[in-house]
Amino acid sequence: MSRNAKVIDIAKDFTRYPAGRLKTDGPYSGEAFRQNVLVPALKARTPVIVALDGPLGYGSSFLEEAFGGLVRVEGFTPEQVLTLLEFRSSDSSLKAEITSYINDARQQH
Amino acid sequence: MLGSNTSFDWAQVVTWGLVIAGWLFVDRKNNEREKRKEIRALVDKTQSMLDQIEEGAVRYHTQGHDDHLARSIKVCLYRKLPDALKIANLRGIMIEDQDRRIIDLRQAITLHNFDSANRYTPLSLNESTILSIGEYKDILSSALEVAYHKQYR
Repeated sequence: MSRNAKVIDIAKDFTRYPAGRLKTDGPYSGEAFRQNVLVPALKARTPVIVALDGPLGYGSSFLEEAFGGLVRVEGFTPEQVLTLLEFRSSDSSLKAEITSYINDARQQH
Repeated sequence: MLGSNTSFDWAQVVTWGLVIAGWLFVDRKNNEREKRKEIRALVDKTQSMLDQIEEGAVRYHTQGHDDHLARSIKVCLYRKLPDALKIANLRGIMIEDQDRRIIDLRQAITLHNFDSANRYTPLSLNESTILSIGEYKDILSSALEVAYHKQYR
């Protein structure tokens, strides 16, 4: 990933308490994160580093909607998403979980 | 005369050698036993955490949406559990397919009917979501037990 990559720190740039799938679930849902933070960053077509370790836990529904939704709803291909996004976390299972949502959304695309 | 004063007592050397070797052997065995006890305690603590996660998750899914409980479950699933397993890994306990098993448990609990007061539906104990939570918790807990026994059989 290039040095001029944009960094999205979820805890600082969004919330430490992500919760819910849809905007109707609350202001810090996966849908809100995708629409307000991820999509604008990806549309610039510059590499983005997503720092995952700040929040005090996630729900799988949040992660699937935020990251899987980039393919399922926003029309990016999994290859585009995985090329532009780099995930930073000390938890390998968290990175694997997010990557699986992006790849699994391929089938619904 | 001179020869008898400086004669070397091989019997004493052998005796002390045996004493030191015996002490080293016992000390090593003690250290191994202590390490084994510490790791057993770590495995027990992690299995107990898994039971608590299951208990909380079943309560959440059957007794009503509760923001505080949901947050506590997420902290356990995405912070405390991976940290506990990482410590176990550092102590030589390597779980087969660890990431996949953690993800399966997280998904069973938090992929559907979670973190949404609007769309929450209380489930009965025999529904597939509840059964899956128990199943994936048991799979991870057993995998941890197997990993411990592989290390200390």
